[in-house]
Amino acid sequence: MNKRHKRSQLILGMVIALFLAFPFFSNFYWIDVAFFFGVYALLGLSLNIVLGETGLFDLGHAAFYAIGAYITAILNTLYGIPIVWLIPLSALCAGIFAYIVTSPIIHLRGDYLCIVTIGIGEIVRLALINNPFGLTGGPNGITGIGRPSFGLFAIDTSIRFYFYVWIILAIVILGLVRLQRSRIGRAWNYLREDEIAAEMSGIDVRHFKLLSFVLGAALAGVAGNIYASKLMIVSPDTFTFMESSMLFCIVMLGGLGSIPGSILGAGIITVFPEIFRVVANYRMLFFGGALVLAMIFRPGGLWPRKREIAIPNVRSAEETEERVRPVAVDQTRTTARQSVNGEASSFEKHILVTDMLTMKFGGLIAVKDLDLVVGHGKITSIIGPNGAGKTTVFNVVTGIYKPVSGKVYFEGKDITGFKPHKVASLGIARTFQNIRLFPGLTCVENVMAGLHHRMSSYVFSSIMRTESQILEEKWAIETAMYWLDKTGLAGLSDELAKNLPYGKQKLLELARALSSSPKLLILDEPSSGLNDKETEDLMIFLENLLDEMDLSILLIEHDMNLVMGISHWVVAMDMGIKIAEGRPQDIYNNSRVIEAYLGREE
Amino acid sequence: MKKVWFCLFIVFLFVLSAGAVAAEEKPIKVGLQAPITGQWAYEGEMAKNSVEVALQMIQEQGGILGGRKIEIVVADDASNPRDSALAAQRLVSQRVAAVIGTYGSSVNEPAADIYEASKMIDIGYGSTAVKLTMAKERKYFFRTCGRDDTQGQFFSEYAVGTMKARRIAIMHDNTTFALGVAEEARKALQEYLDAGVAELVFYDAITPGEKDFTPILTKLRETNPDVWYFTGYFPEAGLLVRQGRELGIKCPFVGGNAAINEDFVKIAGIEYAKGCLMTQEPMPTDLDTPKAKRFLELYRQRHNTVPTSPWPVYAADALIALTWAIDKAGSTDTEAMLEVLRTGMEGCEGITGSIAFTERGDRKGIIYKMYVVTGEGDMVVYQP
Repeated sequence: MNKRHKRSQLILGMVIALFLAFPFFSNFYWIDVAFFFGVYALLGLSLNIVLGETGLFDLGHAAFYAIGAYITAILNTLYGIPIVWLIPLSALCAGIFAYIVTSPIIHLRGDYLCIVTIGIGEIVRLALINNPFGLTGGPNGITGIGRPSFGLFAIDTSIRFYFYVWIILAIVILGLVRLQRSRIGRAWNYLREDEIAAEMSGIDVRHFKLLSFVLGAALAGVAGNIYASKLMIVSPDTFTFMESSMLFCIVMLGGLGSIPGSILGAGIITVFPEIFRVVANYRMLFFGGALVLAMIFRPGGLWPRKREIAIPNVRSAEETEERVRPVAVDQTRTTARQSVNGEASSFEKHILVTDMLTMKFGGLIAVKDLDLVVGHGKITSIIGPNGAGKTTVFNVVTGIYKPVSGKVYFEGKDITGFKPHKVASLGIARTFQNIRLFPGLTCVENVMAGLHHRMSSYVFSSIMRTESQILEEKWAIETAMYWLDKTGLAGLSDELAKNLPYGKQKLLELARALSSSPKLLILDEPSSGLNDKETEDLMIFLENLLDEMDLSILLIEHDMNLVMGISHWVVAMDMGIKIAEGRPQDIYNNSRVIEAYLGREE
Repeated sequence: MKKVWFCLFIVFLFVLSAGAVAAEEKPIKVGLQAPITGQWAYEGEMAKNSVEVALQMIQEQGGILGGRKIEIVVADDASNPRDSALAAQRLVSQRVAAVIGTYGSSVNEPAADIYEASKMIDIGYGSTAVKLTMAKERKYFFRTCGRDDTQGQFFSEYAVGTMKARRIAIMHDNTTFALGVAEEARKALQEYLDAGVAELVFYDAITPGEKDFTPILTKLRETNPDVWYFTGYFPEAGLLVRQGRELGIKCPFVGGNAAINEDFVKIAGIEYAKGCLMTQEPMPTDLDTPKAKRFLELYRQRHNTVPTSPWPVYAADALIALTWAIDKAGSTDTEAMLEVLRTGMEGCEGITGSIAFTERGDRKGIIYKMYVVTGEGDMVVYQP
């Protein structure tokens, strides 16, 4: 560990030394190539936030780059505002622009978003050509942009520009690395890996998608500022669709969500065409060929992000020191809740109530007039044949679907139509019928998703690594480790979720749900795919949970042994209608239930 | 032992031949920055071909500096400012004597800055924006092509000199380009006004994007002009011609080079478009200098076609101007070449006519031609 750390430090030192020495044994041409390498690294990193970290297909990123460049050009040439002051302003304007244009389209997924962003990119470019209000100078662009300067020290030579861009890049990298390993970065990754699971874990999807667009655009705006001041001209032919595709290539080539990958990608995109200049007319052909080969042999990117080492310094402390029991931490919250419940005693018995809940899909009635009651501190099961509408009930309760009519009350509060992340943060956690983990993330990161809504650090505190943010991260890792330990996955904390066997994946999903300290745990067929022994263990585990925590459980289950063994109350559904409810043994003998499962006896 | 001797012999041969190469003078390297790839790749290709043809012509006439070889070093700028800056740095680092290039004003701009900082002469061939020479002082930048507004000057000389018009009307649309051309036309007209041989009866702007120009056209009709010059763009030009003719304005209509194209003909209708004139840089095939004939002949021989836009021949002219400067200066010393380009161009004949530069580096006396719309809607050189 220590040795590895030392070696990586040595390599980093060598790279930095090389960068410092480079301009002094090179010519201006290669220094300029290195400068543009830096600019494209910035652009690559900015798109990496959107495309790499959050998984939003943005093929119009050059638009934000253009906004930054043009804001700089216009304000500098018209009002003589110094370039350096315009860096934050360019970032701000690009960010605001991104917010305005992406908020109506942020709910689009995959290819749809991709097409819309292509449109945004083209609209911006055409607007620039059409010279709105005489500001953008039409196809010839704006010339006479000034050079950045710090007091009397002006950035005006190739060498100075080289250091200027790489110093800014170094600061940006530092900030992004910290952001990547924080609550924000993880939230983005959860969205990329599985949006629904992320939302059900309490992540505000819209908010974090917009945040990623705004931050990515702001960073592209900074790159635009640097570009404009270097070339002293901005014109629409820089910000073409081709440019956006190049940026897309940078991120894909380097590896989604990988900071060193994006930098490497930028290096390839800028340096390779220059190397191929010797073959003149065919240089883009060679370049294209090289890209094709790279993607064939390294489909995951040339330098994909390594996830195994999740925040090592906090981990090592945790291994040696005595572990803080998160349940003890939660105690305050539990007692507070009880006192509230004491006042509203009528809801002490029922944590979840649905009132005449109806859900339709087109003409199909999936759930009709369902009254469901989940007892506080009890295990309630829903049974019924396939297609009875059980999972639909779950999806309505957790906010994935909005019911056609009827109400959902949680702890006496009407939560009908709440967004899933809101429902999750109120204290409802769930697992899915088909496991929905974040496959590309480690187990500990998966479990930390459940803690997201209980943490508060944001962009600034994450980048600055404030004391409270460090403490919060530490708390989150320890809590997640506790739940991994509890579900028997302690040794697998750094393993990627997708590498786990099926049974362990189920447990991991359960750990993620439990880590959010839910008041109500909703399990969709927890025993499916488990053998008898594992099912038995699960039953014991769930029963123990009820004893240890202030928890209620609602589950869908086909395994009658499990249902009859642990349920306090059973609801039977068929064709979207509740056909019976009662204690397990009553339901077991209920003729309508038997009929629903086995058909009517002739 | 035999082997050793053999090896020594080989080494000896190498040394000898290396010496021989060193003794022979190195070729003069001239850079050509052009869009070899990208959306204007065909312009870059034609520019490269034209420069090669021009080089052949120069060598046919005995070359320069007593037959020193000239080598063209091509740098691709892909029609975008970033690649342009890199291409410029690359040519500078390859220590070429001077540079020809490039196509596109916004692409030329960052490159011109780099050449300026590196004290290297750069002759643009397809970059006509006024601000390239007028917005800031560039000591090392020249261009063989015209400036966007030069055609205004051509118009005034042609209208008064050839068309014998007395009452002149000029109309623009307040855009930078159109206003520039109109202003330049007015400036060139001044001496005729002073001499009393012409009169500027109308000088006003329309609003681009409007559909009904009747009010301003009525005003124009009242001034009873002999010729009517519109310097704006084709959508308005088409409507102006149609509405003007319908109002009974019968004088010849002359458009700037942004006013007349196929869409103009469609908007105005062929019955009105026919006979409309346009001030424009001539197509290579319409050039009638002796050099142009030889140039086209050689170009056809080599490439089986002719350049299909006005710009490539200006690249050829740039090479002619540069080699002239090197020859007159007696070396590739930049300052000496500058001196020749500024003051010693007397007698330098290019493909588009004699080449000389103003003190800001613009081409002096650039050749324009008057084109006319035929009954088929084509544009041919106007023969009054």
